[in-house]
Amino acid sequence: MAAPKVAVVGAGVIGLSTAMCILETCPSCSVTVFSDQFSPNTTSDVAAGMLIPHTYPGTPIHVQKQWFKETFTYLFAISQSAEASEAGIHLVSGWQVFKNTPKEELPFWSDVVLGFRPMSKAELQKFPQHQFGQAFTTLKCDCPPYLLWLEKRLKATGVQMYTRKVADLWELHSEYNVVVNCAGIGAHQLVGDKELFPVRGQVLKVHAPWVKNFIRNGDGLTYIYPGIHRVTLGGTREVESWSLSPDPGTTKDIFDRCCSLEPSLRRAQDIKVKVGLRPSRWCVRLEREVLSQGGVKLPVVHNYGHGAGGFSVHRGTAKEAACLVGECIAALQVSSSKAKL
Amino acid sequence: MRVAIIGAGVIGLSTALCIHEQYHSLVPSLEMEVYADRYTPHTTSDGAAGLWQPYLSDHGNLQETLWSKETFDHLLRHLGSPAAKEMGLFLISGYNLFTQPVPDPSWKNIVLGFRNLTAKELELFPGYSYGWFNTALMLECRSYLPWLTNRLTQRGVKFFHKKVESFQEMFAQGVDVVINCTGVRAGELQPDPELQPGRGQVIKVLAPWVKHFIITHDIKSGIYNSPYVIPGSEFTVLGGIYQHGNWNEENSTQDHKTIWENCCRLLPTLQKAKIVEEWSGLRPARPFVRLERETLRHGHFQAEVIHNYGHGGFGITIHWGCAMAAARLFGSILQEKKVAGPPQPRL
Repeated sequence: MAAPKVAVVGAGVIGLSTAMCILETCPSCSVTVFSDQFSPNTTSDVAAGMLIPHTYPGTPIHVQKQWFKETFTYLFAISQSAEASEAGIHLVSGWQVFKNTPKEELPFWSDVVLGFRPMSKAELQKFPQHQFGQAFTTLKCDCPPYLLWLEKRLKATGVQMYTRKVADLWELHSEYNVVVNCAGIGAHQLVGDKELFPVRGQVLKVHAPWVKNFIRNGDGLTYIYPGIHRVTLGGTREVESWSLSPDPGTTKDIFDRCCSLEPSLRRAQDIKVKVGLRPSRWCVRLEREVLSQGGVKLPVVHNYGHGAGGFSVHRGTAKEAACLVGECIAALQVSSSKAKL
Repeated sequence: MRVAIIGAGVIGLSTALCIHEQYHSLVPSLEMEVYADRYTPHTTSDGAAGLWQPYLSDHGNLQETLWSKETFDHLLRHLGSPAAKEMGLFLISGYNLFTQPVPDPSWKNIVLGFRNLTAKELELFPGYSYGWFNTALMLECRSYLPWLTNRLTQRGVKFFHKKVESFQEMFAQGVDVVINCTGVRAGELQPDPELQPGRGQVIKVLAPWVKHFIITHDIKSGIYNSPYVIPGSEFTVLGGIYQHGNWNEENSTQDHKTIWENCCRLLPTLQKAKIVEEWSGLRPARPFVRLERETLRHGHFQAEVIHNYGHGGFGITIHWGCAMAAARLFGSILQEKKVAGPPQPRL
């Protein structure tokens, strides 16, 4: 197979980074990206893009840690380069605070982020309702910049991108050798995955450029993440809610909760409200599948279901997906050479 | 009782406020005036990035460390207040970098979360093998000075745009106490060979992705002669110039080159930063702060001066502690004049 043709469905952080990794491992591949949405209208664009992992109950911890480590290392290098501002990657320090001391004081990722340590008593005085906290430095991927940077690099290598809603993976079988499914929450409809469910998140993106540190409540519900131009205030975790419309009562509630952690936010300006549906699953679906229809086979690689942790593991899962694509191509080459005999 | 503050930088305005807050109710006749030939945004304070951080060593000036601590604690208490944004006050974390291990600074327990850098963190800064991380405060004078001015105006303090040529000039007008907050030009009012300009130059850029301060240190070159990057609420300040004895307030192209090249080497992402402004200023450098009373005798009368100048590159860092100390000196003047005394115990 001279130039294997790979179609990637989805143009959020998972789709675009997977397309990149496929090109890196298989430079002779021709990659095309299909998505009904591109930045700034993907789920990824709503997220703050903080590298703080979500724990998937169904994936071994050492695998999640490896994904996170790979992602962190990759982004760390970009953050130190001249491309950092264009790619939207920057370091940010801050605090994770808990009203009550958590059972697990050391998360699995504590040695991947920088300078992780418990907060001092003096630091905790800033958060009177909280008994325990952790201070560390991590990375943030601002979107749209990061997605636009990925798009730009992909297009520079000849990747074509089409705005198109793929309703069925079979639509692509005649022109592509392998299809990669990075459809995120769209996989619910696209491949009928009943284990995939939305966790609705509403956030506020505000102008408050004096906020230089992140603050996050350990329950993951209230957070303040300073980006390049805006601070993301969050949030909500509404399981099985499909609504993409901002809710005004929720907006006020998020704002109040964040202001109680950081009172100066009362002076924030130009509040924009956004909603995203985290594509949640008990484990990331990262596997090969060969679809079969009327004697025709279609190799598929699934890479979706990253829920609240997409940014934290995107590069690690993209690399694994690219490996799986490589395996699909190898398998096709074996079967096509067999067919020649 | 007429009190004149000469100087409207961070020292002059904060000292004025401190004295007025503490004594206006005890001294009903208190009339306060501020005299300066430069007001915000044209003072030395306005050029500073605004980071709270004393020098590495207090050279035995424990008093200065205490004043800096008082300032930090005072500002920290204001962080959660509605005034914080207007004051230009916010928390910021960052790095101090060295090429060799150094002793911990006198202020390690004043700032929040002080610790040594890990090996991984040092990878961020090739060429540096040792360092600190801590969370400190920013107090941006382009907001703080107007805020102080508003507080003072509300209290009825009068402002005069005027260059005062001598202390006598003030006393001849009927001023009872002069507070001398004239910074680097204090020598024009009274010669002081210990006061020298510590010239600095900075480049202000747009680099909103930088969220940490980074201060490098070169023990050989001395303080502030090594690159630093300090992100503010709007601009990021790049610096690293300290020229003792240089009175030149013009920007130097050589210094621009030094700052730009050194800071871009320290933080390559700055290459994409847009340059917005360049500024030079003269730090009022002195072996130690001059904060003391002086009684000037002129013919038949005597007049009081409180000196509060010579804060070098740490004026913002130490300002409130000094303002409080100046206010105490003012209190002692009042006691002597029996204009106001301590509250009398009830019998």
